[in-house]
Amino acid sequence: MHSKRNGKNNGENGEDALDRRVRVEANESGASFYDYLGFIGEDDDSGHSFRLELPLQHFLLQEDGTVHPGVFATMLDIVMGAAISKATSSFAVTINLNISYFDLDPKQTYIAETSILFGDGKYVTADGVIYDQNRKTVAKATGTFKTNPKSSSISIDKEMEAG
Amino acid sequence: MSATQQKNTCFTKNPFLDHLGFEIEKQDNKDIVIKLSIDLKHLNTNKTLHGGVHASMLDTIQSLALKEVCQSNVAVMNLNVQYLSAISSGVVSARARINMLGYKTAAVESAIHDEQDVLIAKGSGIYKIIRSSNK
Repeated sequence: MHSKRNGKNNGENGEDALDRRVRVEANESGASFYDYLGFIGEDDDSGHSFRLELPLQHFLLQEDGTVHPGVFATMLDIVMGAAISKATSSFAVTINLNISYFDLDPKQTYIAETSILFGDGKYVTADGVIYDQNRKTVAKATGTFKTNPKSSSISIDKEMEAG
Repeated sequence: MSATQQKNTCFTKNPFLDHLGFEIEKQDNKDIVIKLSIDLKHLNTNKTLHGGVHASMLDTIQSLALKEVCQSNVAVMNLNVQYLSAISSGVVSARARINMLGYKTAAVESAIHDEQDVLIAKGSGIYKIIRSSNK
């Protein structure tokens, strides 16, 4: 099940329905810049994943009509950081981001999905993919993030150790 | 700082750069510099510059530097960003250097510094050069 929200509505009516972990993730998915580019986030209740949607708008384009690569970098940074924040209940600081671009031609809607690859202590690595509305891959990234998980919170390390 | 600086016409034509508030300057020695005055809209909820802004700035300066040299359109194939210092306010500047220029591909690196010359982020990218004869 997915619960959809726009960053602009955080803190209003919908927020009471979110549990604490989701609230942490929602809050730390990059609110200001997140809002400014018009992202719509979705929580995936099935695990440590986060789904992000971006409807195409004119200000996301370059002078040649293609999408600015920074839009996809932002989208991948947000989606990976949000999934890691959700898993560790901690703000995820980006250390490294490596993006491969496959198609910068403008599409109607973009959807980003992520999965966490590895967590070791404070450092967590995730990958992210951006699809267009036809599920064609347009960009892919790997990112390494630094977290500061509290001892009382669920961390990826503990889950991995337990597993 | 160069005595004569001119705003790149690209700034007014590129909606994304306009939206983010990047200022593009060409200095006397023909180097291109992008400057950004950090505003609240550029921050994440940790109140530091959002990683997407660094990436956008680094890609922009790399592609502009490359376009200036090869006088062709370019398309990014890969971008790597190292985030080295967090920053919340002030003005940051980005500069690029071309490490390899071939006929169809180029490798470019770039850096973002703050007003005290502290290194904020480093970037490197591989670009496809779209020459008119390549179509």
